[in-house]
Amino acid sequence: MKIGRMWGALAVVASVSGSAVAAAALSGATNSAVTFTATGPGGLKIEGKTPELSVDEKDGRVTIAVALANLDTGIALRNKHMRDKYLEVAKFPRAELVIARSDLKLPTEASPGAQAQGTAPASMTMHGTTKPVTVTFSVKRAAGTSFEVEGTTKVDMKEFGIDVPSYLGVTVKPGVDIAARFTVADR
Amino acid sequence: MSFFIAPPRTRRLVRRDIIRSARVASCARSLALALAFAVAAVGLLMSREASAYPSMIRHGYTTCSVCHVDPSGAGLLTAYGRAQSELLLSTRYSKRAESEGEEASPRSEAFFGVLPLPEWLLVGGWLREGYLWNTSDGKLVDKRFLQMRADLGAHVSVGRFRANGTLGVANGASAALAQQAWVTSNADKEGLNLVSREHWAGAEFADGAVFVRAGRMNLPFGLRNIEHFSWVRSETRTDTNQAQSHGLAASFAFGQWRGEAMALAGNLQLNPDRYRERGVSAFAEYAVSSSVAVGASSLVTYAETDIASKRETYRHAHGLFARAAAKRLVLLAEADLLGASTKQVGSEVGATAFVQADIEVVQGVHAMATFEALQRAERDAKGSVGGWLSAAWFIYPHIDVRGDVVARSVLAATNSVTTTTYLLQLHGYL
Repeated sequence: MKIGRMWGALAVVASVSGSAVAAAALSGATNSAVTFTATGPGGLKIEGKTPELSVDEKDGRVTIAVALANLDTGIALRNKHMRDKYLEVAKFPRAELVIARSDLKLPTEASPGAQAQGTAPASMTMHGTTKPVTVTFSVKRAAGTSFEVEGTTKVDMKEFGIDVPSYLGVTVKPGVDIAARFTVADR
Repeated sequence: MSFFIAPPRTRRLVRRDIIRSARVASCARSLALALAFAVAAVGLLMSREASAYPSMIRHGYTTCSVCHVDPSGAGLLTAYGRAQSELLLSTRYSKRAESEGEEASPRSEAFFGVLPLPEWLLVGGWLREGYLWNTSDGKLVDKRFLQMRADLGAHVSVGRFRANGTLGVANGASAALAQQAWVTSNADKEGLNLVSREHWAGAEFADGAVFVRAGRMNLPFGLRNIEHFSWVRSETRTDTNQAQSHGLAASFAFGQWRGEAMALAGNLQLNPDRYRERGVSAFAEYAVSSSVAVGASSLVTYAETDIASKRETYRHAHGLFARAAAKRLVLLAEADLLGASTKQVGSEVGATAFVQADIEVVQGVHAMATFEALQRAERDAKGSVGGWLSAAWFIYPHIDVRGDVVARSVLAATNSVTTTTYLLQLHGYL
């Protein structure tokens, strides 16, 4: 979600106007929340959450980075398995989503509360592997040059070389929903 | 009690005459109406149950089938459930274990890890003993040991097919709370009887999201809470102690939704046949989030002779339930409309409600406060209220102790009685 939101914010900034886009850059992120959701048999749902998200824009590319070291699923042993055995956080500490600013849509109206939404192609880097993904986002203009962004995307952990988690006969599905929300500034 | 348990060779349905057919047709119409009501209620409420420890929602477990072989909760644990019992339910005595995620130990396995088992076989055993004091209007009227449960259970899975069964013993002193699960019929007050609370076989479909099974099962209804004599369980006759029924059930778990519907063929361990309740019971639950779930239940049954009223009875229960967790606090709530329709008395409506707050003081130590209310579906029945104060300590994987003080004000037509029950329990799960 956070990643998606970041992308959305990026898109918003990019779409404000060509000249404005060229002059401004998205950076920072506040009020962030990222959730990775995996599902398993019998309605099992596992949510990993972290507020550690950052946004940076350079050369027309917006990078939304999520630090994975403190991703919390609510159960200490599960966190340990996720970080050490599957995500290998020590080797691959961040997940990154990169999106072209020109693919982002921002609210065209300058008044607070104005909204825009869309989808955009992006690239996701996780566990040392980069794959294309599609991000769905919505952007709401906040005060000044700030935007509240929400976004979602879905990844297949097998495509990123991540072993599908399995514990005592319970194996989750490889598809993981990622949702992000954050507030970003276009300076 | 005026009903009895017949020997196994007589334990089958025998009445199939024209009168029964007419009654069944009438019952079917009622059931269809009830189903329509249930579906409509579920649709309207956009509602999602619970296990014997529905408070496990505090750990984000809104569903039960990952930890229990019964898709709607309670009973035999899976290997995953055994591990969670140690990791999440029991007190952990090392800070490292709690904060750094220490692995579950072999003692969480079946028979404390002493007996290695193949993956296709799950076994377990329950031993629950208690001591009870009952007072009525402040006067001690009863005190005794209770042998609450002494069962063994096994579950076998082969591909998509699964079979499960429990077998145990119950002594004469616990007849009132086990007789409907007897498979033998030793009427001696000091004698022992074999009991089988569950025995069923079924198959999974849709990658395990759907499970169809037949046999003797817990009725899918409301919170599957362990307090089997709470009014929401005893008055709806949906407790996991002895109120199981034979029948055919289908459960599902899709996304945020979970539920089960069961066609009740009656408790075939209850004889004679005229006491067996036939009908349907179902619930559906929707997980609003990983810490909040709401659901709706519906039950309609017909018995030629109701075991309580001794009258030909259509019995209804329809209600809502919810679970919500906020850090160490879990709230459980259920409210049910009760209905009974007999030729002699006509239709009567009652209701029952249950609200419980469960605080996990430290991991494995729970303090619980419960409020319950009851208005029986009987003419001239007055309302009753009850309050529970309880504490439970999951001392070690699969060993727990619990104490309850239950005060109830039972209002009768001409007088009222205040009862207080003090109950201590020791429970071990092998």
